[in-house]
Amino acid sequence: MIETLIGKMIIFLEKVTKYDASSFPGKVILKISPNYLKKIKYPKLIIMVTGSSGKGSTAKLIKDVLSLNNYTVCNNENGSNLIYGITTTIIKNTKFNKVNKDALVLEVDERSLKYVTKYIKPNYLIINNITRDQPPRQGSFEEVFNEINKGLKTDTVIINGDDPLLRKYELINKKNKFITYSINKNKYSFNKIEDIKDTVYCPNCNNKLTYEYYHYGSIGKYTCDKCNFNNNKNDYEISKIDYNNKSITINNKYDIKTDNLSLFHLYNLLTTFTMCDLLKIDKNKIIDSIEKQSINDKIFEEFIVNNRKYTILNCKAENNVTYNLSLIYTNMDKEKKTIVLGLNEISRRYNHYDLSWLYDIYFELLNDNNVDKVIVAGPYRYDLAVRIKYTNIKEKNIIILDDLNNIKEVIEKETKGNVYGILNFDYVKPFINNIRKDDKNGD
Amino acid sequence: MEINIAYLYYDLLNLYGENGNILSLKKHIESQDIKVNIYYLSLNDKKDFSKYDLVYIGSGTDNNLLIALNDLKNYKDEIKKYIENNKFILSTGNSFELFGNYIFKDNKKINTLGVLDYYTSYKENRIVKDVLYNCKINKNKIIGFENHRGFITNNLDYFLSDKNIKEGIMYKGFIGTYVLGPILIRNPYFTEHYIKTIINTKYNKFKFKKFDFNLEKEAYKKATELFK
Repeated sequence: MIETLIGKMIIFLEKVTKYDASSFPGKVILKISPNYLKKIKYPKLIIMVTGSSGKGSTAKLIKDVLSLNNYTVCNNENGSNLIYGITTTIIKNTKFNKVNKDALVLEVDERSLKYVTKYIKPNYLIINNITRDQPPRQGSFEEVFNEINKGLKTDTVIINGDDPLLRKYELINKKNKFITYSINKNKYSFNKIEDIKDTVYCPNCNNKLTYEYYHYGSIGKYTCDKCNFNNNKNDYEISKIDYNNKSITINNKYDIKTDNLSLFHLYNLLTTFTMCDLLKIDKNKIIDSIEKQSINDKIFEEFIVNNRKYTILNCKAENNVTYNLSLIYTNMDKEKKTIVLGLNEISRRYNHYDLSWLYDIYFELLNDNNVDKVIVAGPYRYDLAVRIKYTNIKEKNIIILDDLNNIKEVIEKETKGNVYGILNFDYVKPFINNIRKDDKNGD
Repeated sequence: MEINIAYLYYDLLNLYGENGNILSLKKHIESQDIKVNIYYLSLNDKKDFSKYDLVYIGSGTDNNLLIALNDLKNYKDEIKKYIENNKFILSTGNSFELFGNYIFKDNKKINTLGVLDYYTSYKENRIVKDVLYNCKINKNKIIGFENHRGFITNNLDYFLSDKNIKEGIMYKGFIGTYVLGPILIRNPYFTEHYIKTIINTKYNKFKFKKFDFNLEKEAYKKATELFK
């Protein structure tokens, strides 16, 4: 097909000129041929992952497990998850009108899903979470919910059953098959947690939901006492988390080892296990593959420099859940600790100065005796310092830095304990580089 | 001495970090050695408007706004009386649409409380912008963020302004504004003035101690510089 050839030519030219715009070839092709995506023959297996956060890492983990089990996979690993970027991915993988792979695994932007599924119908659609995220673009989580619902064209929908908002899809889409996964109560579950909750009332009848326990936000074990909407039955469950031996057990039977026991990561693992088991891949092979790939997980890093243990937690500005999960994880450590907070840019997409999301983050968790100092750094240091002030942490325990240049010296001279970098993704690398600048083992 | 604050629909209308406003009120009123009682009130909770010195209500999703409206309608007369008695209401984001006569949205008319004379019409696209507006009741500008589809038509006094723009509603002690989120945290000069007004209304000739807004003023300065 001529469109594919033109597309490939543009991609080639981009390579030669080192012009890196993953969406451009797709954009051009959809301009000349709006139905391009309809003309392509796709693999029999199509999996899409959408949601507010973690869709990229989940899609990648699924792709990795499939690859280790002899599937050839087409995947938009570079994170270009809007319709144009996805079209570019398709062009790259298409030969004679056909995507020559066993499976197509796509991370799809939550607002773009309806455009993508108009042309490419997935067999499996995974919706991993809907949270407060990018308010200038998304408006509210309710708008995101509605946008995803418009694109819900699939045979099977896989959702996090612990989220009452996602369960609402099951209520309003009777024709689809729903598979749910869940994490059972564990020693870090909360009977009560005062973080912000997106869904407090029953999506079915507006009665207040009753919770047996919370993992975070509205995520947990809930029942509606009026209409019996509940989270009692799930297809896949992490039945046990072993914090000492660093492993989880799925459906009381299948153990997976993982160093990263943050809830965020565990949900990603569970989603991947669920997806691959539905494809009837041998369970032991799934476990082996997940364990292999899990080691490479870059979201979470731990290292020791000058006898101080550093844990890096990668967060997304404007997304309270990524921060809250990092704070909950930090809170599990009962030793003395120092916290570093920082971001360079609120968003790469737009230039707004909206910081309301800082008050949807449950920084109050830091106000305990184990926290020695909180360091705030970067262009938004005063906004961060103010936020910390309102947790009632004393101002003398807040250190305000213009940037990360002297962060290592400040940490070593003025603070105590384990160091937790709860950082926006654009501050992760600069932070690690500054800490490890004299460290020969560093990157 | 005590100040009683009702935080209405705290679990439904809290879309943009609006809890921050409650944190601010509590901290700074308490710094004057005045006790602060916060009443967290939502659906089906009994609301006694004779008790409150200030009512705060924040923004929500379209659906949650209507759920809250259904509950709030039971208190129409009490709220009208509360406003006419010069008591304070601060309503940020889309929540202040509830106090007007109706919302016109997607070709449907939704009757709202009708305690103040204005109406809201929704446009197709959301308006999203950072703002630095003149404030009717304080010489320092208000910094903030707007993100809404509704537009107000009214003959009442406005709260904020800029060249050709008149934003929000002011009527007696009622302030409604599309500037959303933790507006009281981001605007320390306004907040000090606002808190003093609330306290003075209840306790005439109150002797104020120095307020501590040092960090907030640094953040305000940084943020307003971006507009230059």
